[in-house]
Amino acid sequence: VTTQDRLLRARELTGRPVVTLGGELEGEIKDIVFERSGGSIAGFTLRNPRLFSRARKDALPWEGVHGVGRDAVMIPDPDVLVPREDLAPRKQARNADVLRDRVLTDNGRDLGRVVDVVLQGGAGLEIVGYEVEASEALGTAGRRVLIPLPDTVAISGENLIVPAAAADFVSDDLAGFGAAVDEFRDRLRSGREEEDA
Amino acid sequence: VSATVRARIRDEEAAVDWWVWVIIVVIAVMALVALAAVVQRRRRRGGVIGLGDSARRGDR
Repeated sequence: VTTQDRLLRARELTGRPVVTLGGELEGEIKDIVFERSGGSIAGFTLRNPRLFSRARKDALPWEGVHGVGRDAVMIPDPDVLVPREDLAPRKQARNADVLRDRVLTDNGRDLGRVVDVVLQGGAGLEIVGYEVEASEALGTAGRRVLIPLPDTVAISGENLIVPAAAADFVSDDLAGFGAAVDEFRDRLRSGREEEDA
Repeated sequence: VSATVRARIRDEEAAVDWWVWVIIVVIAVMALVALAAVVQRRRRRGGVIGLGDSARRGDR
Protein backbone atom coordinates (compact mmCIF):
# COMPACT_ATOMS: atom_id res chain seq x y z
CA VAL A 1 0.00 0.00 0.00
CA THR A 2 1.33 3.45 -0.85
CA THR A 3 0.18 6.40 1.24
CA GLN A 4 1.34 9.96 1.43
CA ASP A 5 3.94 10.15 4.19
CA ARG A 6 2.25 13.03 5.96
CA LEU A 7 -0.34 13.82 8.59
CA LEU A 8 -3.94 14.13 7.62
CA ARG A 9 -7.27 14.44 9.34
CA ALA A 10 -9.62 11.44 9.12
CA ARG A 11 -12.42 13.68 7.86
CA GLU A 12 -10.28 14.58 4.83
CA LEU A 13 -10.72 10.97 3.75
CA THR A 14 -14.50 11.00 4.07
CA GLY A 15 -16.02 11.44 0.64
CA ARG A 16 -12.79 10.61 -1.18
CA PRO A 17 -13.58 8.53 -4.27
CA VAL A 18 -12.56 4.87 -4.39
CA VAL A 19 -11.28 4.11 -7.88
CA THR A 20 -10.01 0.89 -9.45
CA LEU A 21 -6.72 0.81 -11.34
CA GLY A 22 -8.92 0.32 -14.39
CA GLY A 23 -10.42 3.75 -13.76
CA GLU A 24 -13.87 2.71 -12.53
CA LEU A 25 -15.44 4.67 -9.67
CA GLU A 26 -16.53 2.16 -7.03
CA GLY A 27 -17.88 4.53 -4.40
CA GLU A 28 -16.78 7.00 -1.77
CA ILE A 29 -15.20 6.58 1.66
CA LYS A 30 -17.78 6.89 4.45
CA ASP A 31 -16.30 5.70 7.76
CA ILE A 32 -12.71 5.06 8.73
CA VAL A 33 -12.45 1.79 10.69
CA PHE A 34 -9.45 1.27 12.95
CA GLU A 35 -8.14 -1.33 15.39
CA ARG A 36 -8.75 -0.28 18.98
CA SER A 37 -5.57 -1.97 20.06
CA GLY A 38 -2.78 -0.36 18.11
CA GLY A 39 -4.60 2.35 16.19
CA SER A 40 -3.87 1.04 12.71
CA ILE A 41 -6.49 1.47 10.01
CA ALA A 42 -8.48 -1.70 9.33
CA GLY A 43 -10.39 -0.36 6.34
CA PHE A 44 -13.22 1.85 5.20
CA THR A 45 -16.97 1.60 4.86
CA LEU A 46 -18.33 2.96 1.62
CA ARG A 47 -21.20 5.06 0.33
CA ASN A 48 -22.51 5.78 -3.12
CA PRO A 49 -21.68 9.19 -4.57
CA ARG A 50 -25.24 10.48 -5.07
CA LEU A 51 -27.18 11.96 -2.13
CA PHE A 52 -30.27 9.80 -2.59
CA SER A 53 -28.54 6.55 -3.47
CA ARG A 54 -29.05 3.37 -1.46
CA ALA A 55 -26.74 2.33 1.39
CA ARG A 56 -23.73 0.15 0.56
CA LYS A 57 -23.44 -3.32 2.03
CA ASP A 58 -19.76 -3.70 1.16
CA ALA A 59 -16.58 -2.26 2.63
CA LEU A 60 -12.94 -1.86 1.74
CA PRO A 61 -10.45 -3.69 4.00
CA TRP A 62 -6.99 -2.13 4.33
CA GLU A 63 -5.45 -5.21 2.69
CA GLY A 64 -7.39 -4.34 -0.46
CA VAL A 65 -6.09 -0.77 -0.74
CA HIS A 66 -3.52 -0.18 -3.47
CA GLY A 67 -2.79 3.40 -2.46
CA VAL A 68 -4.21 6.40 -0.65
CA GLY A 69 -3.60 9.53 -2.66
CA ARG A 70 -4.51 13.18 -2.22
CA ASP A 71 -7.58 12.90 -4.42
CA ALA A 72 -8.57 9.22 -4.47
CA VAL A 73 -8.18 5.86 -2.79
CA MET A 74 -6.99 3.34 -5.36
CA ILE A 75 -7.88 -0.36 -5.37
CA PRO A 76 -6.72 -3.04 -7.82
CA ASP A 77 -10.24 -4.17 -8.72
CA PRO A 78 -13.74 -4.47 -7.15
CA ASP A 79 -13.01 -8.05 -5.98
CA VAL A 80 -11.11 -6.67 -2.96
CA LEU A 81 -14.35 -5.36 -1.43
CA VAL A 82 -15.82 -7.48 1.37
CA PRO A 83 -19.25 -7.54 3.04
CA ARG A 84 -19.54 -4.60 5.44
CA GLU A 85 -20.46 -6.98 8.27
CA ASP A 86 -17.04 -8.66 7.97
CA LEU A 87 -15.16 -5.41 8.47
CA ALA A 88 -17.43 -3.48 10.82
CA PRO A 89 -20.44 -5.41 12.13
CA ARG A 90 -23.28 -2.92 12.45
CA LYS A 91 -23.99 -3.92 16.04
CA GLN A 92 -20.45 -3.13 17.25
CA ALA A 93 -19.99 -0.15 14.96
CA ARG A 94 -23.11 1.64 16.21
CA ASN A 95 -21.51 2.91 19.41
CA ALA A 96 -17.87 2.75 18.37
CA ASP A 97 -17.52 6.14 16.69
CA VAL A 98 -14.89 8.14 18.59
CA LEU A 99 -16.03 11.48 17.18
CA ARG A 100 -17.65 13.56 19.95
CA ASP A 101 -16.18 11.25 22.64
CA ARG A 102 -14.59 12.91 25.65
CA VAL A 103 -10.80 12.77 26.11
CA LEU A 104 -9.62 12.32 29.69
CA THR A 105 -6.07 12.09 30.97
CA ASP A 106 -5.15 9.18 33.21
CA ASN A 107 -5.04 11.62 36.13
CA GLY A 108 -8.61 12.70 35.47
CA ARG A 109 -8.33 15.95 33.48
CA ASP A 110 -10.96 16.52 30.84
CA LEU A 111 -9.17 17.77 27.71
CA GLY A 112 -12.27 18.18 25.51
CA ARG A 113 -14.34 16.39 22.91
CA VAL A 114 -12.97 14.71 19.79
CA VAL A 115 -13.86 16.52 16.57
CA ASP A 116 -11.42 14.67 14.31
CA VAL A 117 -8.67 12.06 14.36
CA VAL A 118 -5.15 12.65 13.03
CA LEU A 119 -3.65 9.93 10.86
CA GLN A 120 -0.07 9.44 9.74
CA GLY A 121 0.68 7.99 6.34
CA GLY A 122 3.68 5.85 5.52
CA ALA A 123 3.74 2.09 5.10
CA GLY A 124 0.18 2.12 6.45
CA LEU A 125 -2.18 4.56 8.06
CA GLU A 126 -2.00 4.91 11.81
CA ILE A 127 -3.85 7.06 14.32
CA VAL A 128 -1.36 9.41 16.01
CA GLY A 129 -3.63 11.95 17.67
CA TYR A 130 -7.00 13.48 18.31
CA GLU A 131 -8.22 16.90 17.32
CA VAL A 132 -10.36 18.09 20.21
CA GLU A 133 -12.49 21.07 21.00
CA ALA A 134 -10.50 22.12 24.03
CA SER A 135 -12.00 22.23 27.49
CA GLU A 136 -11.22 24.73 30.27
CA ALA A 137 -8.43 22.41 31.46
CA LEU A 138 -6.26 23.31 28.46
CA GLY A 139 -6.71 27.06 28.93
CA THR A 140 -7.92 27.46 25.35
CA ALA A 141 -11.55 26.51 25.86
CA GLY A 142 -13.52 26.13 22.64
CA ARG A 143 -10.46 26.20 20.36
CA ARG A 144 -9.50 23.16 18.33
CA VAL A 145 -6.18 21.67 19.35
CA LEU A 146 -4.28 18.48 18.54
CA ILE A 147 -3.39 15.95 21.24
CA PRO A 148 -0.75 13.26 20.55
CA LEU A 149 -1.36 9.60 21.32
CA PRO A 150 1.06 6.92 22.53
CA ASP A 151 2.20 4.35 19.94
CA THR A 152 0.11 1.69 21.69
CA VAL A 153 -3.28 3.29 21.74
CA ALA A 154 -5.99 1.38 23.59
CA ILE A 155 -9.53 2.63 23.24
CA SER A 156 -12.61 1.33 24.97
CA GLY A 157 -15.74 2.82 26.41
CA GLU A 158 -17.13 6.28 25.81
CA ASN A 159 -14.18 8.17 27.27
CA LEU A 160 -10.81 8.13 25.57
CA ILE A 161 -7.99 7.96 28.08
CA VAL A 162 -4.59 9.45 27.28
CA PRO A 163 -1.45 9.77 29.44
CA ALA A 164 -1.35 13.00 31.48
CA ALA A 165 1.85 14.04 29.66
CA ALA A 166 -0.16 14.41 26.43
CA ALA A 167 -1.41 17.78 27.69
CA ASP A 168 2.20 19.11 27.52
CA PHE A 169 2.46 18.34 23.78
CA VAL A 170 -0.71 19.98 22.51
CA SER A 171 -0.37 21.61 19.07
CA ASP A 172 -2.46 24.18 17.27
CA ASP A 173 -1.90 22.91 13.74
CA LEU A 174 -0.73 19.89 11.79
CA ALA A 175 2.56 21.53 10.74
CA GLY A 176 4.26 21.04 14.11
CA PHE A 177 2.20 18.11 15.27
CA GLY A 178 4.43 15.35 13.85
CA ALA A 179 7.35 16.57 15.97
CA ALA A 180 5.06 16.84 19.02
CA VAL A 181 3.97 13.20 18.56
CA ASP A 182 7.60 12.02 18.31
CA GLU A 183 8.67 14.02 21.41
CA PHE A 184 5.66 12.78 23.38
CA ARG A 185 6.36 9.15 22.50
CA ASP A 186 10.07 9.58 23.31
CA ARG A 187 9.16 10.95 26.70
CA LEU A 188 6.83 8.00 27.38
CA ARG A 189 9.53 5.54 26.30
CA SER A 190 12.21 7.16 28.47
CA GLY A 191 9.78 7.20 31.39
CA ARG A 192 9.17 3.48 30.93
CA GLU A 193 12.91 2.78 30.73
CA GLU A 194 13.49 4.71 33.97
CA GLU A 195 10.75 2.69 35.65
CA ASP A 196 12.32 -0.57 34.43
CA ALA A 197 15.83 0.44 35.58
CA VAL B 1 -77.65 40.49 -8.03
CA SER B 2 -78.38 38.43 -11.03
CA ALA B 3 -77.91 34.69 -11.19
CA THR B 4 -75.15 35.19 -13.76
CA VAL B 5 -73.13 37.44 -11.44
CA ARG B 6 -73.59 35.05 -8.51
CA ALA B 7 -72.36 32.16 -10.67
CA ARG B 8 -69.30 34.19 -11.72
CA ILE B 9 -68.43 35.01 -8.09
CA ARG B 10 -68.79 31.28 -7.18
CA ASP B 11 -66.49 30.31 -10.07
CA GLU B 12 -63.85 32.86 -9.00
CA GLU B 13 -63.98 31.58 -5.40
CA ALA B 14 -63.54 28.02 -6.66
CA ALA B 15 -60.55 29.10 -8.78
CA VAL B 16 -58.89 30.78 -5.77
CA ASP B 17 -59.45 27.63 -3.68
CA TRP B 18 -57.77 25.52 -6.38
CA TRP B 19 -54.63 27.69 -6.41
CA VAL B 20 -54.42 27.71 -2.63
CA TRP B 21 -54.42 23.91 -2.62
CA VAL B 22 -51.75 23.76 -5.30
CA ILE B 23 -49.51 26.10 -3.27
CA ILE B 24 -50.06 24.06 -0.08
CA VAL B 25 -49.20 20.80 -1.85
CA VAL B 26 -46.07 22.29 -3.45
CA ILE B 27 -44.88 23.68 -0.10
CA ALA B 28 -45.56 20.31 1.59
CA VAL B 29 -43.61 18.42 -1.10
CA MET B 30 -40.70 20.87 -0.85
CA ALA B 31 -40.65 20.50 2.95
CA LEU B 32 -40.62 16.71 2.65
CA VAL B 33 -37.77 16.78 0.11
CA ALA B 34 -35.78 19.15 2.36
CA LEU B 35 -36.37 16.89 5.37
CA ALA B 36 -35.36 13.80 3.39
CA ALA B 37 -32.17 15.57 2.26
CA VAL B 38 -31.28 16.51 5.84
CA VAL B 39 -31.89 12.93 7.07
CA GLN B 40 -29.93 11.48 4.17
CA ARG B 41 -26.99 13.84 4.72
CA ARG B 42 -26.89 12.84 8.37
CA ARG B 43 -27.02 9.15 7.44
CA ARG B 44 -24.17 9.58 4.95
CA ARG B 45 -21.96 11.51 7.39
CA GLY B 46 -18.77 9.61 8.03
CA GLY B 47 -17.27 8.60 11.35
CA VAL B 48 -14.12 7.09 12.83
CA ILE B 49 -15.02 3.66 14.16
CA GLY B 50 -12.77 1.86 16.63
CA LEU B 51 -13.29 -1.90 16.69
CA GLY B 52 -11.65 -4.82 18.46
CA ASP B 53 -10.19 -7.75 16.52
CA SER B 54 -13.07 -10.02 17.50
CA ALA B 55 -15.56 -7.63 15.91
CA ARG B 56 -13.62 -7.57 12.68
CA ARG B 57 -13.58 -11.32 12.41
CA GLY B 58 -17.35 -11.38 12.49
CA ASP B 59 -17.74 -12.43 16.15
CA ARG B 60 -21.42 -11.52 16.30
